[in-house]
Amino acid sequence: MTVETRFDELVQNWERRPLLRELGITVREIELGRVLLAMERNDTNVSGVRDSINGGVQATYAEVAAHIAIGTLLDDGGRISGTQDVSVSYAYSATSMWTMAEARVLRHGRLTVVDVDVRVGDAGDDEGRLNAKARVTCSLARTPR
Amino acid sequence: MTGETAPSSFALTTAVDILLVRAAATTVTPQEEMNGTAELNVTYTRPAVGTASVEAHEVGRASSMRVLEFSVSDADGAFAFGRTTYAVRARSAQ
Repeated sequence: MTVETRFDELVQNWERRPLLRELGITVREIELGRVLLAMERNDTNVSGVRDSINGGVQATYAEVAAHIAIGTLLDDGGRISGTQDVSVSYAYSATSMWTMAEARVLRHGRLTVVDVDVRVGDAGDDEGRLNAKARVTCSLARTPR
Repeated sequence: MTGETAPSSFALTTAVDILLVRAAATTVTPQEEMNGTAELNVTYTRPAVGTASVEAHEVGRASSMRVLEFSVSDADGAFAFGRTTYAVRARSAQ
């Protein structure tokens, strides 16, 4: 199986999950150790102050991005056994039109550490601004064959 | 939070924040209003099983923030621990 085929399967497996569909999350870019996600504003994720995206949803968004980024590095039998730690610092309320999450794996091992930037912006604003910074640590395991 | 299978950490992370916002809201005065989550840190020591409950305590406050520590438990005891900071501001005159 080629890397591209494996990534296509990974994206399809994630995007059909009810959680991602409910939150309006799609995968924009994917490569080894990195993923870029987009989240549309909808009635589920907008429930914070000033019609912002809920802080817990943003934390989950970062966690999902981290899991997908880790997934690009897993070989046959490798799996994420669970999230160990999620830390998020929020800079602003997420009231903008678009919300992107970019996850990069910093360390890949039994405990894998991922850095996630959540950026927000409006129409015509390609770069946006950093809205939240997250670090996610996950433990990895191997499924017995 | 109840389910036939263990709740995923994704669901828990969102639920914890929503419940903690409610806890933090009990600490604001009529002259203040909640202004959003400023920081959230949660550490999971094992997966959850069945129903999970969150217990939070205010551990610090300033005019612009509330700090809460919390734990999340199921029937086997606590399995997640954390701290969160919520921004608070003076209620604007209408």
